[in-house]
Amino acid sequence: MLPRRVILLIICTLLLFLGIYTWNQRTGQWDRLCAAVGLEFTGGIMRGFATVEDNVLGAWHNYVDLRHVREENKELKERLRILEQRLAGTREGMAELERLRRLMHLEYPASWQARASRVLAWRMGPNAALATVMLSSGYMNGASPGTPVTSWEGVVGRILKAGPSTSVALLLTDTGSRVAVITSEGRVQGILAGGGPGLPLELRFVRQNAPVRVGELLVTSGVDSCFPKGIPVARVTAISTGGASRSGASVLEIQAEPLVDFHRLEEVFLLQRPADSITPESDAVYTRRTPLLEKPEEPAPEAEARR
Amino acid sequence: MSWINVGWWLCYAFAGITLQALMPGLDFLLPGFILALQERRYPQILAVGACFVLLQEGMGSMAFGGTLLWYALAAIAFHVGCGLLQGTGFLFVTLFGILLSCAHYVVFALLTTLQDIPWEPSLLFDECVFQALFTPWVWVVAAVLRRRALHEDRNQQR
Repeated sequence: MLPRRVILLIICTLLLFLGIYTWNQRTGQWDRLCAAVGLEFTGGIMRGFATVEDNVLGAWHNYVDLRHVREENKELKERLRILEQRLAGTREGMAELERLRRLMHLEYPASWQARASRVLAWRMGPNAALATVMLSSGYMNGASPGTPVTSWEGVVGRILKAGPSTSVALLLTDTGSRVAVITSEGRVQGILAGGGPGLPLELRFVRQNAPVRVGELLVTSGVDSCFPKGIPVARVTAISTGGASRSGASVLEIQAEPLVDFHRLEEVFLLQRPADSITPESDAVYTRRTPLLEKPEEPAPEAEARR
Repeated sequence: MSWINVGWWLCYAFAGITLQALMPGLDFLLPGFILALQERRYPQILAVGACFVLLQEGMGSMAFGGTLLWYALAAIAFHVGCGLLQGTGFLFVTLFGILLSCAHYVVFALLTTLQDIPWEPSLLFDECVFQALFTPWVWVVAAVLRRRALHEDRNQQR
């Protein structure tokens, strides 16, 4: 083949590529097709592997567990008894909390629906530029782009793209991740940005004299209209002065570590805003007790009666 | 295209995706695309190329285009390379793998810049080195298995 023809071919290919790329950037048609076909096929394969892994490992664990089951059962019964005693005490506290909230005219957190989803795989293939995980839920199971992803430890990230029954979630640690947070004690707001693989998270836009301390918990503030308020995200690990924002204002340089151990992530929750909620401000979540995951319990009958 | 051929490509895609889940950042479908190019059956090249592009773009996290450009460059480079070397030897595939790894570095850097995604050059370099190392060996294994499968297919047809 003549060099001139090769060069012409390369130029034509690049032009064709740029045309397809630009058209896709405007319409997103190719991305949707790839998510529906490629991601779905990959998800199917990984789901099969997960099932086989579950069965094989499950059989092995059953065998191993059987050997210690009696001692463990005895120990668990004892723990159950203790926990039941504690639960009885907590019930009173919950009822009191409920009364105090009503006194302060605060509504209980809107009931965000939580759907469990399984982590199928981590970043895959040559196009994996971002820190992502593949999940076993797609847009048919409530995983649309932007859906918050959490685990029992805290925020994991948000859905980046979704096929019918498989989706890809962007992790908190990715450099493109941004979450609006607030410090749990000083109530200082900021934006938590991912630092990249193996690097700490960065809390941005916090003024110099803000009351932030090392070890303080960062929870979602809810102002980004994505996450409900009050979900734990990270813990402050280092604070230094002398930073400056792009506008030249003096800010604190704050580093934080995510609460979620991403290497051991197996199951996550997809949070879905209830249909009747309008603004993120109405979605206050006050405690880590969960309750983003279930509807608020009715107060204990005895407490109700006493009231 | 016989059913055994289709089945073989499905099994290859299955194995490639599994390997990609174990080794992030690498493309194990590329050696299969090289195999398709070497067989010079254009409908097969188009079908296999389109499926692999869809798969890679689907499981990736960038906007559509990276794998399409990379595979298109691979097809052009293959046709140019065949004019210089015998396109079916191990040496050719090794050199081709190195060339494609370099192309991957450039395409990845170009697309992440276009999409304003921060990327780590050292990590990408490592992935490209591993890609260049793995490509010829995966190709050897795939070529041997494919030869056997197609040989059995031909025997059955006779």
